[in-house]
Amino acid sequence: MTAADPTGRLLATQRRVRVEAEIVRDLALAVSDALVRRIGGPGVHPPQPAGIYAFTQRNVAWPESRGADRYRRGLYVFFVRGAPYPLLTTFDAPKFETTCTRRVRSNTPLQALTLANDPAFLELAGIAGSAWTETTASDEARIETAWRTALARRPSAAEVARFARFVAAERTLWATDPEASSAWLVALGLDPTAFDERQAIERATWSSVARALFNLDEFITRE
Amino acid sequence: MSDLPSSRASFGSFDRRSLLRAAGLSVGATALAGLLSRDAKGEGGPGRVVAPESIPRAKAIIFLFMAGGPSQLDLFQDKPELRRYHGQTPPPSAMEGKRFAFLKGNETLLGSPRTFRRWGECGQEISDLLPEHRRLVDRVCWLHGMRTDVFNHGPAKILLNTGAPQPGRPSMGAWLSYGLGSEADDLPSFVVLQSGPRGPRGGSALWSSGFLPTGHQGVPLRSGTEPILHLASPAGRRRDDERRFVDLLNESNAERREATDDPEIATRIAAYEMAFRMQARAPELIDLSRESQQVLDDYGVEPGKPSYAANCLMARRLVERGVRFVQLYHTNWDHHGGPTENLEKHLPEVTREIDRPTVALLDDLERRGLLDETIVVWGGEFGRTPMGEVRESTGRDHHVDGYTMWAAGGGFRPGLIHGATDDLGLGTIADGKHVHDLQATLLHQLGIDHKKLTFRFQGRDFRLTDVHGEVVHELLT
Repeated sequence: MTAADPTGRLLATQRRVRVEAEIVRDLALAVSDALVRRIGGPGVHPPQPAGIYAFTQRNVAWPESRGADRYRRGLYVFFVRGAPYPLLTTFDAPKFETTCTRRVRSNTPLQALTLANDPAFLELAGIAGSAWTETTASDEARIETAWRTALARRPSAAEVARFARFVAAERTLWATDPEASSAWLVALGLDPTAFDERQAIERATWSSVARALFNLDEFITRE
Repeated sequence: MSDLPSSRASFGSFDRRSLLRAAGLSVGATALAGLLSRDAKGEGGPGRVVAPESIPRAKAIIFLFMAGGPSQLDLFQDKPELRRYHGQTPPPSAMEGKRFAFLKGNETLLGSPRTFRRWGECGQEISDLLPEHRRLVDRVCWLHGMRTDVFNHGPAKILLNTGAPQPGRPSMGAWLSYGLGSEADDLPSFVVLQSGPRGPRGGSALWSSGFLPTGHQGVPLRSGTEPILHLASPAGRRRDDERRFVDLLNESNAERREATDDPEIATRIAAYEMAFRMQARAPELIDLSRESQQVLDDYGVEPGKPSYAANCLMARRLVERGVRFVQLYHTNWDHHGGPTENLEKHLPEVTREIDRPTVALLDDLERRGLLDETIVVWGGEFGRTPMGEVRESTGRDHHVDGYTMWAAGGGFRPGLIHGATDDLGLGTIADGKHVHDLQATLLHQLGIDHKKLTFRFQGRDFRLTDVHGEVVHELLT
């Protein structure tokens, strides 16, 4: 297909596009199965970094949602015009005080930092990764499950092998450094004291896999 | 624009050199090898990077963007005749063909209530609102005949940045990043800083990369204690662990790039590499408390408190570290009159915010020997009218002709007063220059012929100045 129509002039394929800001978050919610599908209702307040309002002239309270509202779709995130939810801005949601005929679709290091390090995404990686440890399947089988869940396709043999090497390295890391392992579990929003040693290592490891999948270009792209 | 199918053709040839620069040299070896083998095939794309045409006089630009449109008539252009005819209607002949954003035609001339004095050898007039600026006059090239095409904020800001009033074209910083690459391996080449009560109208279209590869867009830093969110890696993960994580992503993304032929993935890989390097470099960059108390006092910076002053200091730190284009937006200069935007109370507030830091920035650059190779540009998207807008309090409307900007350093002639307006400030009578001319001149000082830095998109070659603009040689040393 690519050879026959390399520039898309024949409309043989549609362009891949990065999904919109709200959906970046929705994808991680859906893949970790944390998504609450309730429709409608007032805006919600998922976690956001402290001090977002330092830039604005007034201090707005951000009552962080607990329970179901924490995991609602991105379009329900409460919008403070003076200081929008940072994830939305970083992924090009428009300002809400003017009309928007087309969203910009940028691709920046700030997006990379958000997907990799935002506690809201780490929490979802923790949930997704933990779920993948709940089988006795081989690493390869788990990797396949993780890919099919996150990217809706089977990984190639090379992709499985690459991720298997990553799994092995992560497992070694967390097995040899319990202190780091605990810190990582806390960063993922998990309670390290709730698991035995083996469980802790596995959750730490597979959450790393989830984090990696969330950060692939393919994850936030409509193919 | 980048959504259109035809843009795929232009993206198809991601320039190898800029990719190397953008991606740095530390990309996981496999990922980079994979990318280069395909990009090196050279599909003969029309977009191109030019070598400097002439010897560059400057390496970097700091653009102090006074968002909203500062009143040249209350700051830099003293008009005794305007005071004399205060309260009268402007002569109809002078108003012919002129259009304004809000004026209805019955407004009267508004003489400036400010007091002016000439300063320095060049004798530039400065009003009492900018007392520190008297130390600036002989170091700056004054442009009093500036002209733009559009009188609304968003379009005029986009025009000054991208050469066209509609969103979708690359901005100057993106063109420079595309044309010259970056001198900073661990920071983006185009950084945007913002201060004031709200963001600039036009938003991210102002620092867009348009149809250029998206890696060239401006990277906005936040104000306050955490300019870059989520910079730190999660607890428990060391640098090596994160390297392994980023390598996994890059290798996987590179494989996907092969499979899909989508050059956006190359930008994504470069973005992750840049993010990884920024994690090492940026904490030092953003820690203003490392500056001496003397420097902080000169600028008027309180570390941790967002301000124009802090952004000026940050701008110096960025160019010092090789960033090519730093743009500071400061709001709000939109003084129409009314309870929150008037000339009596709010203009003095915003001039107080910028007066000392602006001069301190020039002092600091000069002291460090950076002013020779750094151009500092000051100005807004347009100026303001000689006619007053009298709402609850007084203001002026947007004026697209005969407003003031200035440029310093980087080979701009210090102490030159260029361009003049008539006695009422209605129009330019000598040396009027369009924003396209300014763009052409800025590019020239960085060694780029504005007519030759082009990118083919939707069937034609685009450039920053479109089909306009002339380098204004008389401004240059």
